[in-house]
Amino acid sequence: MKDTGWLERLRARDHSAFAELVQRHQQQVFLCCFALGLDAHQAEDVAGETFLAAWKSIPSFNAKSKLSTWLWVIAYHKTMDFLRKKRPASEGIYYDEQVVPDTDSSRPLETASRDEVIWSAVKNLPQPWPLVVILFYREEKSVAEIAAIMDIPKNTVKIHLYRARQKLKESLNSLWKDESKCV
Amino acid sequence: MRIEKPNPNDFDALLMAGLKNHTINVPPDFAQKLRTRIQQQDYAAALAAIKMKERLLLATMILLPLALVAVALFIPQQVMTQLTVSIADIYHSFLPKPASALRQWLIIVVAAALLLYGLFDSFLTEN
Repeated sequence: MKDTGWLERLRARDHSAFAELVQRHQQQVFLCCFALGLDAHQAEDVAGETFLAAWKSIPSFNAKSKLSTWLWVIAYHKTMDFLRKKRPASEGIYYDEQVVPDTDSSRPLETASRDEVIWSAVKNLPQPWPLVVILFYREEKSVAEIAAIMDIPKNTVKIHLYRARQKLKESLNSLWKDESKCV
Repeated sequence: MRIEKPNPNDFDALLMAGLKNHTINVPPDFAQKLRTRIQQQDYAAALAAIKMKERLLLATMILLPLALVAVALFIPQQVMTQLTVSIADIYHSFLPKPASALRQWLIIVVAAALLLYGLFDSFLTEN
């Protein structure tokens, strides 16, 4: 009930309701930007554009999907637009080359927490796997929801998830082996 | 800190926990900056809407009376006579006034109505 009222205030262009929207979902929007490889400065710009676009089109939000899913869609498209403008036309946005995870960096493993290691391994996966993994494991979105957010077929999401999972198993296993040598 | 090798069965749970525990750093003033930005945008949009309304009002107050007066002045005598007859028919009473007198009254009525409309609309805009 409280959320319905808040949504109505948002539709009525209430600035405090907008501030609440930003407070509630800013982490999610930044997460999308970071997952697609933007740095902090770029993420701030794109996240700002995302919320402004959401503010502009909130009257057309029909509440058939969750507000968070709707925001994910906007954030994803805004980030992709940014990447398209940033990168030369000849260079694809998605790339599947082997990217070596940053797990063997100069930072000693003993001081890194397990969560940071996992985050680092996911973030260093080839695009667009990090976003798929984050949406599935962290945001607990279904395959159908991920497909809708990224505008790709469900089977493609499943393939991305399968490959990302295999790659993560490899990289994290090697990490654990390295760690056991260190300890 | 010791990092244990994950059990393959727990891999999904481990991944989920690891990702959920990671904190996303958001600039502390991000929400406030964005709120200021939309306030400025809304203010600019409201200002632009008022300016547009003012222009429309000005056009209505100047061009429309001129156009109507011009139309009234250049209506053929035959049409004016027909108009006189039509008005008279509507009200079931014959007006034994010449067409030129009706033309004058028509101009005065249209100009007065538009002036009143303009004054009323500008009053509404200001309030």
